[in-house]
Amino acid sequence: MSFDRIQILERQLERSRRENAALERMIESKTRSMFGAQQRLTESARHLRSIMAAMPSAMFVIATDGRIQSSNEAAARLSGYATEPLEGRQLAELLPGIDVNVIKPPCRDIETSLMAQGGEHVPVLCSLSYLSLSKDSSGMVCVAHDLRDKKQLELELRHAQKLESVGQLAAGIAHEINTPIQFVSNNAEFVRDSIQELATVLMAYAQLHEAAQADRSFQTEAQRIARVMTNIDLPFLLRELPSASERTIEGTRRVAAIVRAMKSFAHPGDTEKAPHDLNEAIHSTLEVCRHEYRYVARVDLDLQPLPDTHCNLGDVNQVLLNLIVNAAHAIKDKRGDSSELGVIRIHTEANESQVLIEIGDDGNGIPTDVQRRIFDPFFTTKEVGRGSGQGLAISRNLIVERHGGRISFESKPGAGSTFRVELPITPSSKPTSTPKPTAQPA
Amino acid sequence: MKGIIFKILEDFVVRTSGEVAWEELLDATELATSEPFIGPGDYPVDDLLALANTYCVHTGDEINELLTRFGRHAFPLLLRTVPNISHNIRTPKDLLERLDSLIHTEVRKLHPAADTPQISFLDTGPDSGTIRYVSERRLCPIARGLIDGLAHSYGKQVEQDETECMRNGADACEIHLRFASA
Repeated sequence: MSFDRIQILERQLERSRRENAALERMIESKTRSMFGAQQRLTESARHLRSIMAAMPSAMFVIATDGRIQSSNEAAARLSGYATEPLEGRQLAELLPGIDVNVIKPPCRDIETSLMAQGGEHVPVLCSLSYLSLSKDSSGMVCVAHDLRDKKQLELELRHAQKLESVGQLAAGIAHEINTPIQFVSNNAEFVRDSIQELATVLMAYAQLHEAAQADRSFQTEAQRIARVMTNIDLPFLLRELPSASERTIEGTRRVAAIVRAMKSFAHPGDTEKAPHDLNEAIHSTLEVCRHEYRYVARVDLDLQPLPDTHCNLGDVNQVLLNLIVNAAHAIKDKRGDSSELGVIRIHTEANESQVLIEIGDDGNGIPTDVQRRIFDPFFTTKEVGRGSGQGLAISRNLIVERHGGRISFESKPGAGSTFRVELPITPSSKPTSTPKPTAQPA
Repeated sequence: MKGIIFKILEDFVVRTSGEVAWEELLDATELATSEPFIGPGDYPVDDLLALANTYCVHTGDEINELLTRFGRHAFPLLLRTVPNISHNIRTPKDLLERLDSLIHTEVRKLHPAADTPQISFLDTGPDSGTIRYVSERRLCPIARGLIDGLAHSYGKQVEQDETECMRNGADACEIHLRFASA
């Protein structure tokens, strides 16, 4: 069959119409399918973003030249670049220890420092792996895990181990001192009693000397005795020896008291909680750190009867020591070399559920702008060598984390601070402790 | 088989034998497809072979020879559908080496369901190479025509020697190539 031009055009036109109809159907179908695909893609992208956002560790996607292509929220938080984009920066700006030209992924557990925006060096643990986006595009993924908490725990552990060692040492020394101080004390009492007896003998000799002076046949001996009595200043010795021996005995009693306090404070190896008298703990701690406050403050005690509190005594002693030493330092900072003493006030009380310990001072107070940071690890306003910045951080950890208690403070710059420690007591606890005198001179 | 191949076949027949020949070919060939061919559509490969066979009966051509001529005609038209193909392609061998990554990737962008043949290229010398072609359709004559068209596009002539052929029971077609300046 042959076609003329008109017939060909009619056939082509008819085919074109059907082609158009088929194309329209296809476009419609493709459009639906693309819409579905776009929705799935959007959902997938959202899912991926939420996974990245939920990651606790910082994640950086890096191009082969070391530029950061993308990062997650944890990276912004860790680096401090919350408002400025990290994208486009060289990874080496943030992680100088990760040289992508040298390190060949995959590699794990690279301990290094992240340079945060404020210049802070944040210890991090990094892992690096290749990322194959496509045949023509590749890069690396760097995950940096914040090690600050771990480092703090390690530091606390070292600190605790050191304290335990010191405690064990102190307990050992206390035990060793206890025996000799006992016989020193006994001998001092013997010396005191003997001096009194010797004094009566010497008085008898003095009377004999007076009698010999009247007798010419004993004149030489009488003069020699007179010289000796003058040389040794016998009246002075008879007057001072009893009080000297009393002071010696008092000194040995003080040493014995300190030794007992050290043994009580140290509690080496005691990691369990048990019922303890916290008023007694305050007395022990004051005894142990007496040298820290005795020349700068007197201590006013207002200790109400307390029930035995279920706690780790070593932990509580540590907190009390930190707070008392801080109070003494605050007073010294305010008064300088002045001989006028400040006041450390210690108050305790209890209700049915908890024990309250307040330790206040009239020192220089805490500046308002640093008050919110005083419980931060490594934060200190003290000069180098005087404070590690761990005392209050550890105290809070011991009270809040280990005992379920609270620690808080009020401070007025220039006027002083008061720290409040609240500890839960066991329901079975009953008031047992006897209050000691309400004030203890420094 | 993608509709674009049928559209190119139409263009080939019309340019070779005129519009009437294509209309007669459509009427004379029993096709599984009742609708007109459109570029993005999918159609049975048997329809392409049926059209080619009917055309051969009409012209007296040998079928493989016809398919090779069709492939040669199709190459520049197919190349136009691939954007930015000229980047980094300086010789026919450049393109053959990257056939799968460049051409077939672009084909799959347009036609996700396209069943492209597996083609690998082994560079055997400065002006030679070996194509290994595997496809259930066994359309190696068209492949040879495409290679001719490719060489022609870059001002080269290519000598082809198909030592193994799927049509003769081989697992793959092996076509040894030797390029020379036109």
